[in-house]
Amino acid sequence: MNPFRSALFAATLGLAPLLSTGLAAQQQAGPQIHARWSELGPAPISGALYAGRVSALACSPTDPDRYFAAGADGGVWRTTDGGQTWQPLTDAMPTTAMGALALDPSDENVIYAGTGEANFANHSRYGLGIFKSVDGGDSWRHLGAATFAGRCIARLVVHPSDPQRVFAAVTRAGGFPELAAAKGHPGATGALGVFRSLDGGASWTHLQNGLPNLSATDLAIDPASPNVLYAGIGRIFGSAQNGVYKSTDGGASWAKLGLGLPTGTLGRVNLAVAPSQTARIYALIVEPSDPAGGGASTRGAWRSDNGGSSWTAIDPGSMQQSYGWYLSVVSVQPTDSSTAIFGGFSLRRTTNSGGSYSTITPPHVDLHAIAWDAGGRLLVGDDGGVHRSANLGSSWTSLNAGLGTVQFYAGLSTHPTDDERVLGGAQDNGSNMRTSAGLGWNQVYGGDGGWTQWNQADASQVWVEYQGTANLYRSTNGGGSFNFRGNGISGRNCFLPPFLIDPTNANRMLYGTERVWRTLDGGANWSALSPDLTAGGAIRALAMAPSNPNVVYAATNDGRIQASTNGGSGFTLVASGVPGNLAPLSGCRIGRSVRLAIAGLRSIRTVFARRPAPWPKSLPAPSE
Amino acid sequence: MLAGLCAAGALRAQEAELLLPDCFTASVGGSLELRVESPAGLAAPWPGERLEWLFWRVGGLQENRDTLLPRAPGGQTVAVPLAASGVAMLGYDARPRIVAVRADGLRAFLAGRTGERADAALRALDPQSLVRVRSSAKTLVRVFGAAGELMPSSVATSKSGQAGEIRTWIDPTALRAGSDLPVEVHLSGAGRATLLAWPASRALAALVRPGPDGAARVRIDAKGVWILEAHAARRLPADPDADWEIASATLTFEVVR
Repeated sequence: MNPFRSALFAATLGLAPLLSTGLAAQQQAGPQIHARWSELGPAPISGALYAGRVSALACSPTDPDRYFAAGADGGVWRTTDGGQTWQPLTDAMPTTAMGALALDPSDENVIYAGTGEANFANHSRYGLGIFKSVDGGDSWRHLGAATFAGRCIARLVVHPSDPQRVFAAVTRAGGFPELAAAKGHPGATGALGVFRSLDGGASWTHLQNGLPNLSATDLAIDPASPNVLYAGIGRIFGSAQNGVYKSTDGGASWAKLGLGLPTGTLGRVNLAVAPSQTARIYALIVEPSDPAGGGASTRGAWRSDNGGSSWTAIDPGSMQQSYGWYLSVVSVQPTDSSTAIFGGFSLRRTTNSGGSYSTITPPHVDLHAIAWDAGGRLLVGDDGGVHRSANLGSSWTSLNAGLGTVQFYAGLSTHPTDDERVLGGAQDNGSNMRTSAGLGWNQVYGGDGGWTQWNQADASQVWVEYQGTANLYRSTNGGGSFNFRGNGISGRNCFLPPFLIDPTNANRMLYGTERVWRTLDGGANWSALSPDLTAGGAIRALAMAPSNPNVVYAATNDGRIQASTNGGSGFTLVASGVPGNLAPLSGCRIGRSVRLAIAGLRSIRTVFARRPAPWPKSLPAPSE
Repeated sequence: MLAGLCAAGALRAQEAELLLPDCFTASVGGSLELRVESPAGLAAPWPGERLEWLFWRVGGLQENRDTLLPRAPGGQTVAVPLAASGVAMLGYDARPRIVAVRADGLRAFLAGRTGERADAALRALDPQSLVRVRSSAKTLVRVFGAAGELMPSSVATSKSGQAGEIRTWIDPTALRAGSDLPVEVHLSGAGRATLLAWPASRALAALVRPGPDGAARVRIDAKGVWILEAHAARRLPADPDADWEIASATLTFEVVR
């Protein structure tokens, strides 16, 4: 059973209270604890049958029902029945953050999984290298950790006739500000671009001759002339060095391609070689992102019919909103070089080499991966899991039953008396409630689901939020309907602001922007309780001591811990510079003493102190 | 957030389009007849060749079409089969078109639909402006299973991917009258939007100004069919083809409780 991926697991011993940090799944790093966890789902979310974000897909070249899917934060999964059922394959591996999958063209039982989701969001976790299986995914080896840890693998390519020769496109970890998602990993600022292994992934060489040390957001090999490779260099914040690069000597040297391609500062670059006409290449290029993650709209698409010597613009239209840094993928139909698929916020198809386009968006938007199965069917990985079309996108069906890849954010809550009932907010899949045994959950609220609260004194009252300030809603009928309860709150916010219910008085609640807000009437009215507790950021976690709800802690996303002993009216700065870079705070929880959960490199570290002070002058570094 | 009340208005070339089913409930295995109306309730031709993208989504399935034409020449409705139960989302993006609008008509539209005041810039409009109109429409329909069941659904709260969209964060077809409906308005690249909301049984619409992120909420205070209509307008000083752009998105659904 998977102790890492973000679909919810329940502990049978001891650690259940930490679930509300949203990080409890990572807590259980040791294999000896695996047996204590059982999966609760959702797999899938009801109705639309959504799973969580899928960042990579690979299909058997011989078996039309055998696929591999990489959950962006859910590990590698396999189906052998065309997506009716799925099995998790990498639960015991040290990370579930996935960016790339590749099958060895000479032996499809050899599988490479590149860790670290190369989609650059705050919730795109960094990787720890490459996993390799030689038995179809039944077992895995961990490779390349020293080379790649702290960064992400955007693409893996295996040479078609020399299976020891493997290439990896490597990017920085994401986040806004840049590298926030690296959480201070010492490997985060390591080498970027294209790497090559000549020994099946055991060792790697950074290919630098002609390539800039920038994120490689895509990589493709010419299957007919495998010494020819194309790399998309696409630092998302923009670079004049971004673009399409070509090697004709197996990666030993590279040259930037230009004729017909846009010049100047570009953003993310993705590309694909047409398998049936390998001189034909499609490229999708987006505008650079601004520092806050906006502005990365579609710059355009281009096609080359001569191996990249010249390019023609084939505008697919705006298809990425302002999130092209996050959503960009292109693929060519294996047997028809004139049919290409461009993915972003929506999905576009051309069947005439870019002359015209149709919109073929699947049941969930936000596209990250495209693959073709052995039967010629089109598969996509998106923020809602895996979807498949047998007619080039005109009709889609969900393949998400049993695919436990939903990425929960912090703020899970539980029913006061019924252990089967859980409420949690999920990345781009709303707030979802488990109401009975099994893996199916019902969505009770949309958007990006954030923190939740289940009133422990009145089980009919549940609280949810969605991204932004004061988007706070309460249900008084167990999630059947909701009403706005954020009146009066304003200010800066984390993407999903924290809020709490006083365990001794459900009408008293706290909410965090850059300040702490309080209601004494169950959310009908809120007023600011504290001054700005941040150094320009926002409060990321709140905690209230169950033994004394006047003891309140606030953790900010710029590394501060503030403590109050008078219910939040006054705060004392008890720590600053707390691993904001090294390991950002992700939640805190109060028991008899203060427990601060810190996201470490492979585990959560907890730090204890007497309440409310003294706080440790220096917090211990993560274990590795 | 409630900014005012507006009359539902009369048909103008630059106005939005409503996508309406023949019935807001259906059965799996059956089909829906879809038609288009103006916000004023006037029948409009089915967009047909004007469609850029038509889709319907229900129960983990989605169908996409470049166009869909009425079965009979000159017909104003199209039939859409429903293969799964749950809440179905159906919608389209129309191809952008440029229309010529008289100054008084544009001024009235901007004041009534976007809340623009009659400032100097609006008073100084050319006698006739060329307006690029971008319109998207969608509707939500409950599709019951063979045994009369209605599966809980996350379709109603999913993002459609349309160029313009009013997203709902709660399934409005499951709301009780008296509830708040949180929405986000997205009119890609078209500037800050305004939102009108009204039950079809009422002549006055609430005018709501979404926040910079498009977030707004609507008080659903009556049962019946509801119409939400969002607009954003911007000048196009450097555009060789149009003086203004008006983007719109609409949503229709039925509140039954």
